[in-house]
Amino acid sequence: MKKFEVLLVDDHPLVRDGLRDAINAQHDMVVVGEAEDGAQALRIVQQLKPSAVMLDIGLPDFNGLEIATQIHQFSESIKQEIHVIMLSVFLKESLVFQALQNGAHGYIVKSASSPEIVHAIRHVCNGRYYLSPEVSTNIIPEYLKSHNSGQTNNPYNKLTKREQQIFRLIAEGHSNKEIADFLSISYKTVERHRANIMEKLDMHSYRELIKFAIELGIVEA
Amino acid sequence: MENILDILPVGVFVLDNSFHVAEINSALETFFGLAREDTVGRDKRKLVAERICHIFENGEAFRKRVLATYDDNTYIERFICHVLPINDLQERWLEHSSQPIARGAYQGGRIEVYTDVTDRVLAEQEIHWLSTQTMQLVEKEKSRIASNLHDGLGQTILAIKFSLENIHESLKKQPKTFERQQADLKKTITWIENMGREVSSISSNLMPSMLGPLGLEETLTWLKEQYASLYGLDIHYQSYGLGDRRLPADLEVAVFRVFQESLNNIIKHASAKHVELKLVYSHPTIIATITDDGIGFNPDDKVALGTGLRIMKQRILELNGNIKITSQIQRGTTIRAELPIQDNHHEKI
Repeated sequence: MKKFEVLLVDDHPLVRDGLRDAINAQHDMVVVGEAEDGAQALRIVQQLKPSAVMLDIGLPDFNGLEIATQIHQFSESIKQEIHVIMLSVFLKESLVFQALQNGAHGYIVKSASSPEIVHAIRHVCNGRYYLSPEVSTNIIPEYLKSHNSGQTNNPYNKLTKREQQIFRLIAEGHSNKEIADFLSISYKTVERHRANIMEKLDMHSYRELIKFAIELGIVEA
Repeated sequence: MENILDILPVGVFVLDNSFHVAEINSALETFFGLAREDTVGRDKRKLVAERICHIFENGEAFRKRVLATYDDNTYIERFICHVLPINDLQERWLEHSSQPIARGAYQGGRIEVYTDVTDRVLAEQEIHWLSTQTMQLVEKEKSRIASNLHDGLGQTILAIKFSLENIHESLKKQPKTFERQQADLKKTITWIENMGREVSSISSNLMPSMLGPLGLEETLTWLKEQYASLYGLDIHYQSYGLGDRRLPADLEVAVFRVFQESLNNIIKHASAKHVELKLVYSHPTIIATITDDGIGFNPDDKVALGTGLRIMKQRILELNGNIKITSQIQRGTTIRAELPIQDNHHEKI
């Protein structure tokens, strides 16, 4: 039976050692190459066309996510599957999402055990996706949380930089004329910004605006 | 009278009630490069505008400030001015201190005293420079130790763990023979995992490794969870207007430190139950607010303020920011720090 050929990409030789031993101890997979940075990884991928690449996200030269994209493109151009598994110390929704979007088939946190890692390699080489269990226990609640409350839902987040600045000047009690002079923009522009701010924040009075600015700590009560 | 004034180490102008120079002393001649015979009897306003203001850094401000005292000769004025080393003058810092003359021969006039405060100003500059350097050094050193821990020790621990796991896997193939060794290994693997977590936590407290790649939002969420789980505090964190926007690296570190130092302070002294952390991007500044419901303290009391907060204050001032600590005994504490995102201040109109 042909073994799955694995390329290890990590800038820490000791980590590669550990991974190599774990992989080579398996009957169905073998480490065919090792790289310590992104450029070297790409060269070896083109040369050896491995079945899987264990790719550290934090490489000294390039972002691992970028290398994943390039490997994916190469894999499509030669019409041969090269499965990328991202290795990362960070558990973050946007990183996992981006890794998958860039063509990776797996995302594993670096604290994963070696049995888990070989399991992941087997999994992706059989054309499936693999995510660390931590991804589902941490990312999904995080995903739900960030889509229910916090950041995304707050109307203040909709303000542009300029609007933030004007929001504050209004809250500090400056007139449109003063704001226009201070920012060297026209009175009309200030009026337009002011209307946009009120609309974005869904506010209908100066008092509401002040109350919100105090709540945010932008101005003092 | 002139002889007596000449004994003084400070420079003196005595002005009569029409602000003509009545007397000057020799210290003043030296400080200003003026000769007594060209000065006494002349209109001080003209002297200021024509001859004196040019010797100072920011001479225009000096002129305005001094002339204002003649327009309204009722108050005490005090400020520091900087004599530039031009036309054979010695560079020095002088403290201007002036007040109206209430009685005697020059009643209705004004007396101006210039004290040489060069030593003090230079010492202050030196202290300021040293404290900035020290802080940068500390920050650099923290970063260095953190990355050594994370990249060096942390990765080695990881490698050892892999290696032990590999041995464990191979022992599994002979379950009967190595039962005890397997159990021991399992235990060792757990220890090494704990060790890895500890190293990572020490390193993250020094300088969170996620701050660079992931930014403030993630790092502060991590910080919040860290303190909530370690100390059983109810911590609420909310950010406004930041989104995925990244700030200059040193500013991100500074903002992180404000939250970290405030939380450390709360843990150590506040006996608080609830803490609210807020980060608001209010262009062109960023505002960090930390509110707790603890025992509070008198923020004017330097001892009560503690080293941590005093250092934090200094750091913020160096970044051209400002900080306000509001606290009352038994009523909790609010720390509000505001930092400019670029160098330009958010000036009041």
